[in-house]
Amino acid sequence: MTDALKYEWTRLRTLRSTWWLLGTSVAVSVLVAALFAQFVDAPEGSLVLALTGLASQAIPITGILMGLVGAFAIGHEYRYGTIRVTLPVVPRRGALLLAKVLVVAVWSVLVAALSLAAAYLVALLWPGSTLLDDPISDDTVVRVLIGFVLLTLIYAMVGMALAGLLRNLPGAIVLLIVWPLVVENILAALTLIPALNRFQDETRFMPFYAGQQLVSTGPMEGNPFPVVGPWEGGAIFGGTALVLLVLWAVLFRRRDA
Amino acid sequence: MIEATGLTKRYGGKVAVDHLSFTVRPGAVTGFLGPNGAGKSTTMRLMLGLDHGEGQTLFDGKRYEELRQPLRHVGALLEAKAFHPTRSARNHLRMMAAGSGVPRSRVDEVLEVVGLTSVAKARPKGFSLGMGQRLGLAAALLGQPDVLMLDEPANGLDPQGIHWLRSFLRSYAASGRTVFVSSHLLSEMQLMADHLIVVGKGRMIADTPVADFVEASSHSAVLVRSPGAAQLAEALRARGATVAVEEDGALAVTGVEQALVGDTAFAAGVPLHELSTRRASLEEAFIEITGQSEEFQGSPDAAVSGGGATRAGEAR
Repeated sequence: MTDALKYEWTRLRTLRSTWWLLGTSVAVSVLVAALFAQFVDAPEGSLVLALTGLASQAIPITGILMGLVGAFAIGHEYRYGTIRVTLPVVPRRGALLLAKVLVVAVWSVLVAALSLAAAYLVALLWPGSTLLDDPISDDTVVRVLIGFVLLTLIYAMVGMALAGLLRNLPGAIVLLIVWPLVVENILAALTLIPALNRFQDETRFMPFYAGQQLVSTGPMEGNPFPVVGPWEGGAIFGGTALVLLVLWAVLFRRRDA
Repeated sequence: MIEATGLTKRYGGKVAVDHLSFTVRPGAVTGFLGPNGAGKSTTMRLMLGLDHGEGQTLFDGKRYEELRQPLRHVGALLEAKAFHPTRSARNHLRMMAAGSGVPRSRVDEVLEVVGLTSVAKARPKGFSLGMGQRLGLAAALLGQPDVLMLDEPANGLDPQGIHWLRSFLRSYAASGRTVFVSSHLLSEMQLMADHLIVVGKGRMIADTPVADFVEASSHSAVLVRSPGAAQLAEALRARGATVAVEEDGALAVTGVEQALVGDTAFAAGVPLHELSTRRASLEEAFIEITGQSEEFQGSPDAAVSGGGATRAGEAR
């Protein structure tokens, strides 16, 4: 298992994209925090929006970026045929899969924490920033920050499981972006049609939408769509990731490499 | 030492590898031959547990999965150009070394051995097939394994590269290690291998020393020229030989030794103008023996064309 972890860590660290994606995540966090610090006069909740890069309102950028890291972890193996290099080094498939999951999980948590830290420094040090005067309760801030790390982690796991299931990197990346941005939005929009209106309540269980509640401070005003609570949402999204991972694990052991 | 027993692989209803059992011994280069689609690559993937199928393969008594840090026991080259296009050759090997308990210094050693030192830090995106093969070879050698398994390692190598590979593998085997190598370059295999395992349509066709394989071919014969050919042919047939008349009137005699042909001529009082032994090339023997199992057979002319260099073997 140690050998598998060493292999996976070296794989991750010798990939240029790993560092590009880390840099992008930190840069986006800093940029959003700076825009908030400069232009927003601290209404309640603006602090967490600034720190999480608007993750509760738009698509969580750090989540998508770490979803890519996850997808690359197994997608590259099939895209470049390196699965036939990797398995001879780590022939026990369960160990390889576990090593991939652990290394990507730790990395995505680190990147999420680093992005938050960078954004926090901007909120703290930006000249004229009033973000830290936000009357929001400390408990809520801590809850959203933990939620952000978990959301990023789950995105990474979903990306990896999709790439492992599809064995097709471009397909997995498209699905990772299209699922939350297009599929769930269309499903939600469909319930605005009167005939489908009675399903509107169920849209809160859509996995990516539910997961996003991890970083939300409550329903937005004027949003007709119901939401689940943050931890419930995290459980739905995390459960989805777990199901996908288990499915991938079963197929990974059974399929020819 | 590799011991394979009952290797079988089915795709749907089609049998790609059909109960192959063989032993690859240390101290010799064992060639793995077969027409396209005979199941050579599938067999190698089965042996390493990459593909699932029936049967088992033991490397010095252990299944591949049971080997601790397998790269230290078995070095395999299955596919050229299996690397990430922007991960340098050195990092690719460092990754493999990290997962195998092989010291980093060994990476630069193997890069030196295969002649990739000058491009060790470059992106391998632009590597030619030959350079990709060299990187694959470096990876196979990384853990100083006792067993080497190479699938078509000569593919894409230039003549110098092939020459180097041949002497390298021969000396690797000579040091008491096991070398199992597939190739479709028959002239190359004739120079490199000591033992042959020949498969066709997934079945074992021959498991024999190269010399015996070539000997068994009908192209191997005693060649006689004589003004009294007809008389000599009769005398030879009386002694149990099979005699064929070549296009230029020479007799190709099989089934008896060269000396016996000379003695028979002497006894019959037939003058001889030429008496020689013709050894079939590996290519001739291979095409003859795999002919029946050839899955994607072209026209007979196409099957033997392009073998100009090895046909010189007939003169020997």
